[in-house]
Amino acid sequence: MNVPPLSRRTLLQAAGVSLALPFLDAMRPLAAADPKTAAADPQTPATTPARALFVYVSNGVTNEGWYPKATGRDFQLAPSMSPLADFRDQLTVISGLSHYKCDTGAHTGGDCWLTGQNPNAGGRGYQNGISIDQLLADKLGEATRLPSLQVGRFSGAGSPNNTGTIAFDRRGTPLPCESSAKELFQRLFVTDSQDAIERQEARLIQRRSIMDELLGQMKQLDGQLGVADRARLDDYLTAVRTAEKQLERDRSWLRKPKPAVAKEDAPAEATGMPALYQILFLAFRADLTRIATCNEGLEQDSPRHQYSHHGGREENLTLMADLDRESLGHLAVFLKSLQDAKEGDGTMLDRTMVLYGSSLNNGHDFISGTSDTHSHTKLPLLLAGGRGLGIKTGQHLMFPDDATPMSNLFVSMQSAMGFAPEPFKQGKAPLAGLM
Amino acid sequence: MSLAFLSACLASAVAADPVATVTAKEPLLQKYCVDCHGGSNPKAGFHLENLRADADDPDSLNSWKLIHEQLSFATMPPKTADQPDAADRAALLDLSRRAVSAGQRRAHQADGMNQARRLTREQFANSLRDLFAVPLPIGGPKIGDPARPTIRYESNQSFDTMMDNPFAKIPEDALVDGFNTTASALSLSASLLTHFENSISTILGWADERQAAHWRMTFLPLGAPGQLDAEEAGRWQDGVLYDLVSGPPGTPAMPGWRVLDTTNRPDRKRGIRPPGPEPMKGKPGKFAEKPKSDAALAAAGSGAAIKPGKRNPGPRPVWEGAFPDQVMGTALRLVADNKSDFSVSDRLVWVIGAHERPDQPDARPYGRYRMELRLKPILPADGWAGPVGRFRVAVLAGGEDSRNIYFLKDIEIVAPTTLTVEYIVGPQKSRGIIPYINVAPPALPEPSAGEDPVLATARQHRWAVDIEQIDLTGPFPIVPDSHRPPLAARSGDRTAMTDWLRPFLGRAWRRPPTTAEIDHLLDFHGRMVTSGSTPSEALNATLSLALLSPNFLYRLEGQTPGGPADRQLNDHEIGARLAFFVWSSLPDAELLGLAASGRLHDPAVLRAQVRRMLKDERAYALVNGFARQWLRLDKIESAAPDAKLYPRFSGALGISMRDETLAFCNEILRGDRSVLELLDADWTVLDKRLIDFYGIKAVGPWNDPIPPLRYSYMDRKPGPPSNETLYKVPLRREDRRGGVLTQGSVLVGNSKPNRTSPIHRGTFLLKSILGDKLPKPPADAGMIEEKSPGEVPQTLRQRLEQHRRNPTCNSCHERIDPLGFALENYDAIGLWQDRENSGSGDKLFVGGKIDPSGRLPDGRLIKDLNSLKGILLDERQRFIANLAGQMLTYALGRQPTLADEPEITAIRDQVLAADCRLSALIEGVVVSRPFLTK
Repeated sequence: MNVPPLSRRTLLQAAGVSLALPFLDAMRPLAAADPKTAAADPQTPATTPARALFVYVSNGVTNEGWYPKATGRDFQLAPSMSPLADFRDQLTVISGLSHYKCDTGAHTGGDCWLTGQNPNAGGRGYQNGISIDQLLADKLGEATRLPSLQVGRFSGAGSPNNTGTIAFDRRGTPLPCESSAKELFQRLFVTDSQDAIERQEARLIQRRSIMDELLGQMKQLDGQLGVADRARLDDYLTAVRTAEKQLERDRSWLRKPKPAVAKEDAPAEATGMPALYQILFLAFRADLTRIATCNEGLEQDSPRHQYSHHGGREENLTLMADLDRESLGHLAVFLKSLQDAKEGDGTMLDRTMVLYGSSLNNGHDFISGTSDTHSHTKLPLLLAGGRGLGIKTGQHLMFPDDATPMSNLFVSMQSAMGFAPEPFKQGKAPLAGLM
Repeated sequence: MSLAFLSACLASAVAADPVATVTAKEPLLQKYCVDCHGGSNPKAGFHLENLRADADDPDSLNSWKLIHEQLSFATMPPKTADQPDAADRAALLDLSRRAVSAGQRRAHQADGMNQARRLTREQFANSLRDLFAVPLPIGGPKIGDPARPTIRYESNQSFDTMMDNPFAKIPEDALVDGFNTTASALSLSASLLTHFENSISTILGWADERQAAHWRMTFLPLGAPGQLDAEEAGRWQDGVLYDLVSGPPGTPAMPGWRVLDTTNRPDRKRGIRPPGPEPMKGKPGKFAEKPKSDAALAAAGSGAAIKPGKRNPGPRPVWEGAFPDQVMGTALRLVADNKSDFSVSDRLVWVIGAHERPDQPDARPYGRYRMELRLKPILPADGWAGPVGRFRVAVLAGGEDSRNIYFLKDIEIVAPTTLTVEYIVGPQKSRGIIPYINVAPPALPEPSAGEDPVLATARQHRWAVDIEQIDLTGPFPIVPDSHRPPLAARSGDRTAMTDWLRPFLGRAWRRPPTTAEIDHLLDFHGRMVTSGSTPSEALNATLSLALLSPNFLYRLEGQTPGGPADRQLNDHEIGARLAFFVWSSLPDAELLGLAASGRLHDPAVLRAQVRRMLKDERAYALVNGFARQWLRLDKIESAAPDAKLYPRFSGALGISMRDETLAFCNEILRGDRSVLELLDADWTVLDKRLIDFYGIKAVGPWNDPIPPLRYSYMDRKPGPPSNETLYKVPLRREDRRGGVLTQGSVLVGNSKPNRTSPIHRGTFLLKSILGDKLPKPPADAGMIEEKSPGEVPQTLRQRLEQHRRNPTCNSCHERIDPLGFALENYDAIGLWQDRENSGSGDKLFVGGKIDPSGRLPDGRLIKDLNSLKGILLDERQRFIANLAGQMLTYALGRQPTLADEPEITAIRDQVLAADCRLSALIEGVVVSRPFLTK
């Protein structure tokens, strides 16, 4: 599925011709978007990365506007998806998947969308687990400057059961979102002064020394601890070791130049979805990261929340559908950027999976009905792009039997990213028909 | 399963612990349990043969716990099987309780019951606040709630500030077992550790040396720029001359702070600012007329020759209104105008200046500043006829998320005086910090005819004051000198570092450091210096190391090898438990001193300390931590009644409801009142919004507002309640309020968006108030049918009664529903209703008359709300025992075990014997065995 990248040498050998052969996009590591830098280092293994973005929209959608009537290849986009009309053949509308065990009755949507587990299941309180984006980031290892990127319309992590982020690490700790496109742009694309780099490096070295020292100290403490305490402090040790690795990674990237981005590519607005999408596009294009999440809103954020308890009222359903369309309009601009960016013999969209959707459904059987509550079944989901990763796009996949866990999709997404798929929460098998 | 085997197990338990005298009744297990839970295919995989009464085997202890739980919920034996009679059930319960209790006792002695646990986010933040004496906002912004202030700030500092929140990225700790202090949930991940590291590093940066400079701002007469020379003109701006009085080499002549004489209140009608570039983003005031051209002004003789300089000073336009807020002659004149329609405040606020931030993050002038304002009020001597006003001085900062925090200092000014304001400019996000002057005008007579126009305007606008000169000194380090390493330590002197580190570590680690530990840190310092750090940087790294070590981040207890067999905590550990319990922070000097002298484990000393600590402002942490979580106030924060059905509800109202309960609990704490007032009281604490909403005819006197729960600059203003002040309000019978059960926070937090929920309310009463445990509803419990539009309105009670016909449901609902129905007279937004109102579709049905009565399983009749309260007060033993158990859970980070139950009973009895005062409860918890042992 994962197309092996072409090496420049292979091409040269095959062609046996001139050195004037253009340096193809597919051979260029995108981390070095500046052609001069890339050309200067022909030894760098060329890669065409696979990427995944997860965009969460809170409180579900207006079902009537969302679900296409027909299934399979001959589906027509429903009204809310009209902004995506140009991308119909790049879309996979996926209907009927559920997070069965997540039905807590509460507004626990974004908390479980990518973790596929009910954080309130234990009966004692909140405990979440790893989200699929973080699993993929772990598998990708150190290929990029950032393991993953979390952005959202609100900054921070929110509260348990009203999460501000959809990304959770192995311990189930929420990874806070950044909402300022302005700050992100500064941090990711604006070259620091030599002075600033040196100060950052000094600080990284200092932090690294502290972590080393902490590990050393723990050995002394270890002999004095009881069993339960040792278990708690193992947690601590693991955290220190992991943080140390991250510091190493930061340091190894510190002196590599940040990708060059033209000034006019900077987002026009400081915050908001269009600006965040622009950052995500730039980050993907420069191969700063291959995994990202974007949280468009919180479950208890009005007005989506208010409209979602629609009680069958036409007014609410219409207002919600308007918001759906607006949201997909932003997505469409992003998809267009990906599609316009050539990469290898395709476009960036071909090798990017954008999963858009919600973890709540405000109706039943794909209609809104008079429902006044949310459920975690028959979730509205839309996968855009990924044709080059083996996704059979341009179809409406329907799972009407109410028996397919959404986590099956996460199993398939691992394959699409080029990894041997492993079971993920309730997901034990690939999603039929997707690849 | 062999009977002999079970007997042998139980017998060995007896031998190991005389508490576990489980001998005679074990045939009961044989009689009721083994049929299913024995043999080759035990039900639910639960096999009694694996059961041993040996506490060293955690599996057996867990099995006994399960048996006990199933028996106490009466979920076992199942209804389809032979049921034990009352005597047998009691005997079974007793058997299992003793087995569990004995097991827990032994586990406790072997390894302690309390695990090492990391500090919660609040404990971490409060500890750093106290370690460095910095006023820190606690907790990150709560997102998605516009009415909620970003900053919850608790401090007894003499000044206040807006700062960037260094803890904003630390995620909230989840509630597990009802509280965020639960040890098993306080895990640490690399990302969290990194956030901790960043917070620590930020705060350590606030202790770094800063080089202060002193600038003076002088107000010039309007024509003045004409007389300035070229150099002075470079320091002139909008009628103000900026002087650098003193400062280290390289200090710029301009302070990076400048006078603005405009208001930043967009709702201010008459805000006027001088011409020139707009000083800050924001809405400028309204020009009465367009500024005249330079030529026109020059012709009129009011202009000045334009001098070269960085800024073109320009002439001043003429403003409508005789007495505008602007630079007037030799002073900045501020005139109060209480005709403005301030929605937040009936006082006026002038922004007198702002710090400007250069774009380069490293050049930001952050730090502590001191501003001296030379003020001259307009007094009767100036022809002023009215009374003299009150000054309030506020420091405000506008951050990127535009929520503000204020500092207030009321000063009455009757003569020219110099006012000193200290404030902090945070280093990170905020764009500017703006010291405010706020004039609070008293009621004044209307102007008389023929009065001097200037004075008439002043009178009409009520009050005026001149700022004649402003002195600005700074930046100083944000951390005060008393809490910073001295210069000698910063320059790497080993003795000085040792002398400073020893008490610092003693506070941070809640125990004296050993010499080896200090040496270890100093060696690290030495290595950092060797590898190129400056001694000062190395010291910060060393302090980071100390604060990231488990000695600070974790609560480690009883790890002395060969510690006492009863797992008694040492005095320092007791001090830490006490401080984290009551203050959510570190022990203070007095606690550390008592621990060092070995007196803290003495119950009399502990009780005295609790009483002392409860008087400290930091004790609000008990309300904000314990009470908030116990009463599940997070539910009101996220409550979303349907706006169509209940248009009177708003987010702001929800916050008022939350604050009512927080303030109510805080008053019980501050006044050391009876905890029974939580159940019923003839007073509550309300802001104006809730007084109106509840429809309470509240009468003053309004001169003793409740201390603020959150900072707004209206806090504690004497006068009638506003939406920002809270008052203790006496309740009359006809108000139908009193106690937390009748407060909006509980009623709305436990309702559905479109109707009440007797089940949620009843469950809250049963679990949170009475402390009953309920099994999880069975998977097939089913839902209460929602009404469909057009259906003949049926009351919720009728629908619930259908549900209860199912015996599986009824076993719990016969306990829950009567409690919940007694509160049915309060609708989904907490208003009194005589007939049921609930929504269906977009219509609010007014249905049948509310019947609040019900019968408890034991036969007691609940007639209505008052009889419910009566029953709860009769059940005070259960209520207080539950409160003690909840408090222990919060304090210990674990749920009480069966082995702790005698201790809880003892606490309960102490409370009952002490008129149920809250302090007795807290003291009882603190001197109990679970609190004093690992």
